[in-house]
Amino acid sequence: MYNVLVCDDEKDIVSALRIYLSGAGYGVFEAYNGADALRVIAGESIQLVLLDIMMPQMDGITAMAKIRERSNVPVILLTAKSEDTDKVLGLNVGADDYITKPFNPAEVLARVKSQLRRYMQLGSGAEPQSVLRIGGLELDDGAKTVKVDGDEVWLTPREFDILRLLMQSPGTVVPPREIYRRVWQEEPIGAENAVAVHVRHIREKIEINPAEPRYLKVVWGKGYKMEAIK
Amino acid sequence: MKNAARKTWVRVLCAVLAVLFAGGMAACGCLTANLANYGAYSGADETQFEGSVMLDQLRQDADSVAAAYMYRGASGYDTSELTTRYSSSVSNFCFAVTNSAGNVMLSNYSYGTVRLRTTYTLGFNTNGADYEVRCGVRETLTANDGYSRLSARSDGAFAARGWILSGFCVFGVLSLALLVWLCWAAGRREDADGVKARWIDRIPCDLYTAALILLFSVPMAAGPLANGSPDFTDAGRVYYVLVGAVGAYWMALCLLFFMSWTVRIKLGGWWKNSVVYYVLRWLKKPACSLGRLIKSLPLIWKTALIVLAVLILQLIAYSSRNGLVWFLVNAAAALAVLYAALYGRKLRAAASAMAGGRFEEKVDTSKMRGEFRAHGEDLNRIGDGIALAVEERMKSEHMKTELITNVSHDIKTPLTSIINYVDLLKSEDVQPEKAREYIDVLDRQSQRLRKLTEDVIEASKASTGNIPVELDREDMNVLLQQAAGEYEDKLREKGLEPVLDLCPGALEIMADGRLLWRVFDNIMSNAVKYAMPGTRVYITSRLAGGRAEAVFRNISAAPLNISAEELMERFTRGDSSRSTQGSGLGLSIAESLAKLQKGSFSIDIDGDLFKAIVSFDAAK
Repeated sequence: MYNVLVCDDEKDIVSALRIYLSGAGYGVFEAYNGADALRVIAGESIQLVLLDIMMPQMDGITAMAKIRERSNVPVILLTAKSEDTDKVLGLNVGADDYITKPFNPAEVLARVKSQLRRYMQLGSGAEPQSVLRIGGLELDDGAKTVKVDGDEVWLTPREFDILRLLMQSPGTVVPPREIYRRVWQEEPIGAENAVAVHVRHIREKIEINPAEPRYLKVVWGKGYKMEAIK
Repeated sequence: MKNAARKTWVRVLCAVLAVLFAGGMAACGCLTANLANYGAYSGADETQFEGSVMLDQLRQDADSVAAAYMYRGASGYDTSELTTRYSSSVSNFCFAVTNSAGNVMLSNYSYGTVRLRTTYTLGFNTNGADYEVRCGVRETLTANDGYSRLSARSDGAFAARGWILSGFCVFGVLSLALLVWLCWAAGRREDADGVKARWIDRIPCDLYTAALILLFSVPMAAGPLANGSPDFTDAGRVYYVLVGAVGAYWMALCLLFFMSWTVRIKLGGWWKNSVVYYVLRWLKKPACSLGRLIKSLPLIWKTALIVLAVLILQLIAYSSRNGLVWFLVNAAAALAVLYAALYGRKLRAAASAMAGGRFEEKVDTSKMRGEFRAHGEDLNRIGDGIALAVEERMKSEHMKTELITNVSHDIKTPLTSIINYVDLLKSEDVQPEKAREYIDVLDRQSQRLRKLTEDVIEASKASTGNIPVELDREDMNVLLQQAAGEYEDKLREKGLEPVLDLCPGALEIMADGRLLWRVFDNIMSNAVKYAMPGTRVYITSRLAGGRAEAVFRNISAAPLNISAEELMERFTRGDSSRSTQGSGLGLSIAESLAKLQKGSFSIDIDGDLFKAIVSFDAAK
């Protein structure tokens, strides 16, 4: 059983999260400010932290920095701010993921699960050459399987090809025309729309929140790219 | 010295002394000049000196003898009159008229036997024959006449020549020293410290000076001094006394002049106490009011006056037939026109800068005059006013955005709890059945509230430009494909069929891909919400006149009985019942975001056909 620390100054949010997390079989510890959170982490065996940013006494960013001084336990930030700059700041100080309020319980659970999988499976045995791995995303070209955080997802052959093409060059923006040419093996004549539909479908299958993808990003007006994550 | 200077009697005494000394100096100076003139100071002995003093008289007498001799033939004139006039008992003057052969024609003494001193010979011509008057003064003075008096006086003067010279120097130095001291002491008083003006110092300075100069020149014009200096004759005595008196008079005037001026200069502001100053001051007021009158005239009148003045000057210049005057008048007129043009241009530039929104650009009015200056200052004030208004507005918009964002963030926290607990309620087995319906309503409305909060934040940021915009080269066609792909499933779920009709090739524009996606996102989600099921949604792009245009068309499910402008306003929705999902902010956000990227967004309503057009300048 994994232990999750939930830290938010709103007691109602903490209780709701405790209900969901214990329902999913996690051990839950509660804290109401950054200082409390640090105390719990020091005393207990914690495998994941859900941390609110705006809290009295010690805010989430400060607590985050303190946690990182001693441990690399996965931290998911919870915040009411949704600007891109805030996300970048949060991820820069060492957060592993980011959930904006108001959030969906299902999304929280999915992200918790995803982070725990990655954290606990880090450094597992050697893999065959045919496996492409980006973060918790795993594509086995030999077995034609795709796994997200260890759970297999089913993709159509076209979707599989598109995903493989993008995973082969992470961080590079591939235009839809190029994707069509390489996957369909023919010149696109007003059919690039199909690429967009397929990418949308892939995102719905591999992303927790398709509107805010972690892996397969839409570069608007240019194309698609696979985020380069370790 | 200071105490002495304060005492009036000391100063009066000194002044009297200075005047007396000056008189002495003048008299001695005059005597010295005469002595020097006859060589008393240049090595002549007493006899030589006396001789040269007597020579003038001798010449006069020789002249009258020659003149008398010339008239000898005239009726009723006897040359013997001469011999009686100059007989040895009344005169020491001896003469002999000789002809060219050397024979004596007429004589008043036994020629050749009597010893003469200071001789003189005058040649003259009468009746075609040459004659000479040989004359002189008897060695032994026999009569008491001018010559004997001259002899006695010149001897005395010669003997005293040293004293006279030193008297001149001593009196001169003393009187000048007293003058300087009196000037230094001028204005001091026994009863008070510092310098005080007396009534004499209060006379206007130019009037005072002019009066003194007038008084100074009186002896020169009318006095005996004008006739030159008689020497040691009878008139000489009176003359020296007169010279002394005039010297003393001048000294007195000098004292009055220098002492008063010293006081005036010491007190400062002397020019203010002058007739010229009073006149100027008196003229200042009318001159100023005339200036004001001209200034207050309307511009047309002023211009008319100037033109009239130029015309009159032209006329004068023309009638004077003077090329230089004509040139100067025209050059001045041309300069005035250039001046007007120069400042007109400056004002024009400032006004156009203002029209272009650069309110901080000011007109430099420091060198402008009159109407130009007033105009420039007005322009500056307008600029200041607008700049201030713009700044105030920006500030208030910024504060509004800040407030909306903060409030919305604060709403998000309780909203999170509501959404979570509604979700928990849904997973419970709630009885009766009606309660489950209520929970569904709560669920739907809390989700709507969430969307509304997010849209409010985005709308306020987009409309105030509080979003970072990074313009880059984007392909509008690619973005439209991506947007259509994103919405394909949602559209089909609602029974809508997307039809993509893009212009061939790339349609490159300068935009921020993320923000442009938000524009298309809003338009597409609008279509999903409000399009009539079973119809098609057309997405087309085209390049028209250098503009890249994306057009979205769909058929509205509800009748669109409002204008495009109203639909664009915040919180307005296609269905007035507000029953369906949506904040009513989508189109307003899309418009703001398009503007932020220098694009445009417009909607068009034709019956139930809803058309949204996004257009950008095509990138070169």
